[in-house]
Formats: sequence, structure tokens, C-alpha cells
Amino acid sequence: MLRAYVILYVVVLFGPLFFIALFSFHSSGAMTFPMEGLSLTWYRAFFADHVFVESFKFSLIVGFTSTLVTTVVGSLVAIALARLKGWPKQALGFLTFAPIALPGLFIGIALLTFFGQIGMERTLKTVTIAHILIMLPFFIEASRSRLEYFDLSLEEAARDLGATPWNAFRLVTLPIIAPTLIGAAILSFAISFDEVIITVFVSGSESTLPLAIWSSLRRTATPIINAASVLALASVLLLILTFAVLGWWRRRRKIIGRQAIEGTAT
Amino acid sequence: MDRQQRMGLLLASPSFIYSIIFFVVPTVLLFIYSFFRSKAFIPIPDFVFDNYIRALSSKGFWIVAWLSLKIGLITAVLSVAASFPVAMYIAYRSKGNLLLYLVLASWLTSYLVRIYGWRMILGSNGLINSTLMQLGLIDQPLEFILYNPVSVVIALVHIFMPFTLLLLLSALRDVKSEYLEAARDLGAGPVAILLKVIVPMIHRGLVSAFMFTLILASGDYIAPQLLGGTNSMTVGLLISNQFRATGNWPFGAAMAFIAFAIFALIYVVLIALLRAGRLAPHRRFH
Amino acid sequence: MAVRRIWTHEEIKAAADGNFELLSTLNRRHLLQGGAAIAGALALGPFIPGTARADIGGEVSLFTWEGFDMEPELKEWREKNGVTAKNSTMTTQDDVQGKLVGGSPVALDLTEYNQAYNKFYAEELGIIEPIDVSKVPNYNANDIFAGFYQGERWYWNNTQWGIPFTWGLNSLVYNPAMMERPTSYADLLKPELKGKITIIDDNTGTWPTAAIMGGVPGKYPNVTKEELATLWEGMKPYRDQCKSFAASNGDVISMLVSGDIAACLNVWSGIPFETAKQNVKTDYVIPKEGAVMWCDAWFTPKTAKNRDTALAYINETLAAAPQASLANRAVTGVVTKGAVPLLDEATRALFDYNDLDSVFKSAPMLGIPPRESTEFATYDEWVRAYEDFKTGI
Repeated sequence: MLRAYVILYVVVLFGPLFFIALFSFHSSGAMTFPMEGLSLTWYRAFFADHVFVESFKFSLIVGFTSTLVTTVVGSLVAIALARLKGWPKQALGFLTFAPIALPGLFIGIALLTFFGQIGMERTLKTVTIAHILIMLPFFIEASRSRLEYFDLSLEEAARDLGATPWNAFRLVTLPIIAPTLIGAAILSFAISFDEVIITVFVSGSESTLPLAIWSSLRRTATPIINAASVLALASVLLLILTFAVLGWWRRRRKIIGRQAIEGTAT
Repeated sequence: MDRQQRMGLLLASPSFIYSIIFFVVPTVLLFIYSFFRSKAFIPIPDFVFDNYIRALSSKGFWIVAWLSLKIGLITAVLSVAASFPVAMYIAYRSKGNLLLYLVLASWLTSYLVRIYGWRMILGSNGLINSTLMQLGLIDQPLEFILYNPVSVVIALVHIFMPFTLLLLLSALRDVKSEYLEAARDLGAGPVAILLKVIVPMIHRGLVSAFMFTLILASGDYIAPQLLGGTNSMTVGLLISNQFRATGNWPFGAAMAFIAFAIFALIYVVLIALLRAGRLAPHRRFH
Repeated sequence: MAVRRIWTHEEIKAAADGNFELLSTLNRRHLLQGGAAIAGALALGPFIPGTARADIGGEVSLFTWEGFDMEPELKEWREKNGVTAKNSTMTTQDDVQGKLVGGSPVALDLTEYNQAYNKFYAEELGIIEPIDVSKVPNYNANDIFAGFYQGERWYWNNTQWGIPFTWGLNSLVYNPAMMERPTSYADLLKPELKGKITIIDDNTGTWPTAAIMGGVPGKYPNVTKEELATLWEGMKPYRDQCKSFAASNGDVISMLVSGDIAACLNVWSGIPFETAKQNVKTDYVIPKEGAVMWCDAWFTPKTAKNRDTALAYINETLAAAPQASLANRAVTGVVTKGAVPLLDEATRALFDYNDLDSVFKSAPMLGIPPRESTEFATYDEWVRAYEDFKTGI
């Protein structure tokens, strides 16, 4: 029964997304039933629209930069959580969770006030700063449980065997936590790619993709926004796929390597 | 302080510094602003409670706040209830994380486009109405399913379900399956395990998943505008108007902090309720 | 337009200092025009007064309504002049001051204001830099319709603050398949239209319309506090008829197409064209009580970095062909006389270009409520009253 429920949950989650994707291939501009036919009109329209293409580019820039920073800073936090005890741990937990325990609007206006106070011009930089702020909590939340229970004694053992701290980390800790970190990084990227409520306040003269979708919706709602959404989804899925293939290839190489060693041993 | 602790602090320092500069300082600044006066986009430094008094004495603010909160509460209850079994399934039944990744992947479609997607489904010529009419079950489109708080809740639950799931799962990972086996060996039934072991152990995670969804949903002001019909006013919109239209930042800031206080109050009440219902321990035991 | 070599202050200074690296970064394009010209200018530039005229080129940062950046119309011009445009889109007029006011301004070179915001922007917020009209030669009394040349919304104190470039009438759009042609706003109160109309959530248009409908016509934007209360009270029956408060024109279009509503107040004249593309016929009608005129004007913010190119950009948008193309595309009015023959029939028929005076008379261009006043309801009080109206108090 639980299994049936889980299936229902996934269907309910993906059902509406299926229709969104379906209508991106609609041949007419209407987003109502019945459908009139299929075409790639809206994808062509997307790529012909300079505002969409530019904003797609800006979103990619912000997405990659903020994911990079989040992954580095967030991984350090997640690793630190396994080592910390007492109040430093609680303070860290609180500080890194608080930004998402408040409505996005709150962060948006607080940052706007802050940037105004220090006279910082609003550009993609301010957007990136804001995105990192809300990506960090998600990154940490997504990787925390796995990393917090990471057995420090493994690393200690490596050090007892004479490994330098860096080598112990690189050879023992990193391979174990890498898949979790990659998953969390992809999640962070997705958050940046879709953020609109905070971005409205901190963006300058460059629109991100969700902002472009929002303003296009205000003019006329056509399936071009569905196409934009499908393209965004596709680019993130492509990213996931690339990592998956890389991971699979690395594992395979290792297995082959191990088999080769075992082969010579027997 | 041992070596590990020092190392931990060092590793955490970039994040500490980042959060202090871009979160703590801006929040404090916003709090200071909430006591300023304002003249069309120009905040005038002062220390007055006028903004708080103005919001708290406005009937409109309370009506809108209650509507936003109601939407948030219902969305949070439904999201937690719908996602909890799935989180249990992922935590204790499934091998690997495929299901989790699948659920999180749904997150990758644009939030705005999803809201429009619900219009396609619930509208007069939408999926549900045209299907029902085709089947001959109705001859007039059902009008009550779109442009009211119900459709807002449907869309928000759909949007926030994966968030809630992620947080619940993160909490459940703390409850190792050995504990559940131990409880079962001691003769506890499924309900007893749920209420006496799981819920008390994850009560913080449970409350944070709930609060998190509540805050996100009641702070949202785009879904109510597009799906809420004439019930489109939300606290988020009131605050946003002050920052973007009238330019009275101090007043907007004051409303934001009132909203924050309401959320904090709900959190305290929830924890107290769980304790009263013996679903949360009085002291942390893990 | 023949390209004449014109030097900026920086270039001249760089050239005089022999700083060719700076010179080349200042203007790569002209270095390609041959060494002789550069050598000549190097020698003479600093000594000839008046040659220090600004040049155009480089990146212009635009902030406009969707489609109003005239990107396709000015493509050729941009390429010819080495101009690149960075476009971003506003979603309400209030976005513009949101970007320009405060300690964290955004570097915009060219943006627009709705006529109602003229004094607010120029005097209260002080975000407009007066326009040097000599750099916008297409803006002249011969080529521009009298109503758009130096009108009070763009020109006062002997200063040109903005340059109007597109305009239209916001009025009632309805679906003839769902209701009879309305002649008065009161027709929307028929019981069969309950839950079938919408009001667009746009201050500059909805407020003056509400003043007309709610029973204080001819007073907006200067309405006393009592009148403010009266007019929103008078709007309540309309609220009860509403399905929603539409967030935007796009929202209205999608609701008309899906059959969720039969009519919308105070919207864009282009809506019937957009719904027709999605196979739904709607009509645009001006009720006997009148409608609301809007006109958008270019302005360059005080903080603009590439002002001369922005002014050249404005100049080009006033040429007949780009004017007509924008109007055809966005279903709006033109300001350049020469553009009228180039309009589609339907776009031309929107307004009587032979008698614009009576168009302006029947639908005057209005301002916004005062930000500070003891006599009249302020902008802030309007926002509050409007929020209460939407909340249903």
C-alpha cells in the first residue's frame, strides 16, 4: 500500500509538469484544451527572442558561479559539522539555516537595504550573492545527514598510517562524500536557476530567466514560457547526466583496475 | 578545545563570515529601518514606533495576514502529511536515492510556469473541466475550482512538496533503522513506533519542515495573484508594495518583522503542543 | 547618415598624452578608419574648440516594457554604429524608480516614464537628466505631432525632461460571444456577468478609471480624502462582479482566451489582436464615460554612463519606419507624422490621426496623486485605499 501511495505521489508531482512540457510543443498560442497540433514554434520563438536568450545566459552565469561558491563553502560547513560540538555547532546550524527560515521577500528587502546602505551597485554580482545565501542552507541540509555521520575514525586511521591531513581527506573522505556533494550542488543550481522573489529586489539591468519569464507573462502568456521552462529543465538534466556518466565511468575504471590487480594476484 | 573542534571552526569560518555579512547585518539593518520615518523613497533616520502602530492598527493588515497564514497553514499540513509516508519509504524501504532524485528533479521546472500550468488544468477550458465535459459528467464548466484560495493551496502544495520531503527525509536519516527494529523486538506496533519513537526523535525536523513550508507558502505573493481570484492580497504583496511602489521602506520593514514575530510565535506554540501531547521529549536525548 | 569623425574628451586627452592603449579601448571602431585621420586629429584635436563633441558607440543599457526596447527596429542602426544593447524588462512603472533610487542604483542609460510620473521623477526623486535636444534632431516641431512636441508632461522650465515615443488608450475589452457590446461601465454590473469580469491591477490606469466609475469623474489625480472613500465605495459593486484582479495584460489575455472572463476594464488596446492569435475574438470599446490615455517617454537617468549613445538611440526610435513598426507590433500610437502612412490599417484605425486634439480631449493624459498634500489624498493614501478595496473592506 505504501508503495502504491509513493507511485501516486510521483504521478501527482509530475502530472502537471507533463502538461507544461506538452504545451511547449503546441502549434497554436493557446494554453487551453483541446490541443490543435504539435510543432517546435515556441522553441524557435525562444531562440529568436534576444531577451530570453540573454537572460538564459545570465542565469547560467549566476547559476554556475553561485553553485561553485556554494559547493566549496557548503562542503566545508558540512565537513565542519562532523567535527564540531556544543555551542559552535548550534550557532553554525542556526546561521546556515536561518536564511531559508524566512520568506524570500524578507531576504530580498534586507539585502536591498544593505546594498543601498553600502552603496553597492546592483548587478549580476548582487544576484549571485543573494542566491548563495539561500543555496547554502539547502546545500547543507541536503548533505548534512550523510556527512555528519561520516566516521571520522576512517580519516584518523589514514593519518595513523602516515597520510598527510590533505591526503587523508583526498583519498579517504572525499571519495565517500563526493556523490552527496554532487547531488547537493545540482540541487543548489536548480534553486538559483528558478529564484525569482529575491532576484526581483537585488537584480540590476540584467534579467535572469525567471525574471524574463515573469515579464513575458505580463505581456502575453504563450507557450514560449513553457518552452523556456523545458529548456531550463533540460539543461539541468543534462548537467546531472554528465555527472552521472562521469561517475559511472570513474567507477568502471576503478573496477577494471581492481580486476586487473586481482587478475595479476591470482 | 580539541584539534577536531579547532579544525571544524576553521572550516566553517567562510560560511560564518558570509552569513554574518550578508544575512545578520542586513537583517539588523532592516530592523533599524523599521523604526525610521519615510518620505517617498527617502528613509529618514529616527526612532519611532509609528510603522508598527500603523500596521497593527490597520484592519486590512489583519485580514490579509490571516488569509496568508491560513493558506500557509493548510499548505504546510497537506505538504507534511503527503510527504511523510514517502520520506519513510525512501528512508527505510528503498535502496539507493533514485526516488529522491526523481522527486527533486520536479523542482527544476520553473515555479512561475508551474503556476500557469495549474491554470491550464483547473481553468474553465482546462484539463479537468474539458475531461469531465467530454465524459458527460457535467455540462457546464466547474467554476469553483480556479481563482480562489483552494487553487492557491493546490498549486503551493504541489510546489513545496519536494522541499518538505527533503527536510523530513533529512530528519528521518537521524533515526537509524536499528532503533525501529529494537522497538519492534520489544513488541511495539507500527503506530506505537511512529508516535513513541519516530515522532519524538524527529520532532524538531518535523516542526522545521512544517514551519518551513508554512513560511514559504504564506510569504508567497505570486501564486495568490495568479490563482487566488479576488482573494489575491497577501502580506507579501503588502510588503512588496511598500518597497516597490510607495517607497516607504520603513513601513514595509515593520510589516516584515511583525510577520516574523507571528511565525516565531507559531513555532513556540507548536513545540509546546507536541510536548503537551507527549510527542516531543522535554529534554533532548540525542 | 554619413559617419563623421567626432572625438570625445577622453579620446582627445588620451591621444594628446600619446596613450594609444587607452585610446584604442575608448574607441576601437574608429581606429580602423585609417591612420591619416587619427594622425590629423591627433595634431589638431586639442586645438580646435568645439570639436570635442561626444561620439556614439559601445553598450547602452535599456530598461523598458516588454517589446518597447525597439530591438528589431534598431538592429541595423546598432550594427552600423557599433552599438550593443543590453535589454531588461520592467513589469510596472514602479520598477524604474526601484532601480534608480537609493544607495544601490542600477546603471541604466535609457528607460521610460509614464506621463503621470513626470514631476515625481524629475523633481521629487531627481532621477532624470535633462535632455540635450540638439542631440535628438528627429524630435522637432515639423516631424512630431503637436500634441507630443514639448507638451507639459515632457517639457517645463524650458527643459526637455523626456521624449514621448509611444502611446495608447487603455479601455474596456470584452468577448462578444459571452456578452452584449457594453456602452457604459454600468453594463458590467448585469447579474449574468457575476464572476465574469476582471480589473487589471495597475495603479496608473486603474485609479483614474475607478475615479470615473466610482462617481468622481474629472477630478483625478486631485481627489479629496472624502472623495477617495466615496469612489472606492462606488467601486464595490464592480468588485463583487470580479473573478480576480488580473496581474497584467498577459493575465487578462489568458483569462479571455480560456473563457474564464467576459470582459476586463482599462486594458491595453492590443488585447483583441493577441486573443485573435489564439482564435478567440474580443473587441475593444470606449464606454461613454471615457477611457484613460497613457504615453510613455524616454528619459536618460542621472546615473547614465553612455548618455550620448542613449540620445542617439532615442533619435533613431523617432524615425518614421521604427515608429510605425513598433506601433504595428505593439498596437499603439505613433508620435511621428511620417509614420502614419506606414501603419497597418487596423493600427491606423485605432486613433484619428487627422484630429488628435479631440482624441486628447476625450481621453486626457493624467498625472498621479500628490506624494505630499494636506488638501488632497496622497499617493500613499491611494495605495492604502486600493489595498483595502482589493482586500474587500
